[in-house]
Amino acid sequence: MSQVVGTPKGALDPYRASGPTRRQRRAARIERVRVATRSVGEGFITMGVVILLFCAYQLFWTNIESDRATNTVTAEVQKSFIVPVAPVQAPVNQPVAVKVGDGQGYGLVYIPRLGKGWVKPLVEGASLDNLKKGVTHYTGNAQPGELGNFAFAGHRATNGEPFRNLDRMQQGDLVVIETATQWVSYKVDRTIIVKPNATWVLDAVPGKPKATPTEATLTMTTCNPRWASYERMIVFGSMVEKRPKAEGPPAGITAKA
Amino acid sequence: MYVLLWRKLPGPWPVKVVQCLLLLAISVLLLFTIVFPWVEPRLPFTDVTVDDQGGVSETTAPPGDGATIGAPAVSMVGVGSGEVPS
Repeated sequence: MSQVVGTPKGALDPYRASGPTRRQRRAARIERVRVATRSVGEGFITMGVVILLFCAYQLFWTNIESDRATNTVTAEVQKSFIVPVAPVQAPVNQPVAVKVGDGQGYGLVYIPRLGKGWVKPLVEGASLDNLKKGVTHYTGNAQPGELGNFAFAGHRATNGEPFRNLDRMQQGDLVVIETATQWVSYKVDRTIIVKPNATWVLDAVPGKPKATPTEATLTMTTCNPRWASYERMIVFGSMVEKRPKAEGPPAGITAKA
Repeated sequence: MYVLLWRKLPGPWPVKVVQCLLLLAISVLLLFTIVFPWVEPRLPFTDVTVDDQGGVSETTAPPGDGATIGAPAVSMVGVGSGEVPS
């Protein structure tokens, strides 16, 4: 029986019962290795693409989503200003105990140093979910204008990045909070860099544990450096003035329409 | 892996290209709306709050109050007390 020229030995021979030849087995093995290697390579490239997509998500998508959430919450806050949440006769000096639920916006923060017309909603509860909506008040700390330490946090990169330029804050810069009943003005004292577990910055009197506060102070926190968060940037300030809403915003501030 | 996918898709090659693009768009959408939001809080890049980090927290200010940047350190007591209404 003659065999076709060029055919591997045993390939077309109907009388050969012992299966593929050693050469054929080797060829099949090489093919499998090729396919496996290619799959691994494709896997790595896919992972790389996914990581790049995640970067795009962080840099673009979260900002778009946060801007939308911020606008919604700002509108809600402005609506809540029109409907007074506390009796109008309450004297400005008495802390108005406004009950704010977690995730609820209850004020507007104006910081001219951070940009022209920079205004963000103040949301209760410094959680990641709330940080997407604006700047978030540490629950348990004093509220704007109250004796003690009014502290809030904001993102420095991604998710709307309200505190992107917090490193530009200088001594004397204005931080103004508009609530339903008052305008409260703080001035920046100084900025420090601390470790993420430096909870002393949230004390009623930062730097003096267990001391009773005698003035109203401000603390703003964000991450440092901007694209990592192994430190925190803390901006301290103290209240300079508070006035009832009827008197209008302090000098240098234009109320958000 | 992708060659297998290409072979399994029905139709002539222009149709296959369209299907691939569709699959890509769906994957990206799934990633952006489900997978990435799930992963994001589990990564430490964007922590901006101060807390005890599940361990020991710094409850007292270090001497010198850490590294001060920007304006020189000013004692907080007495600053800004000019116009505070009594």
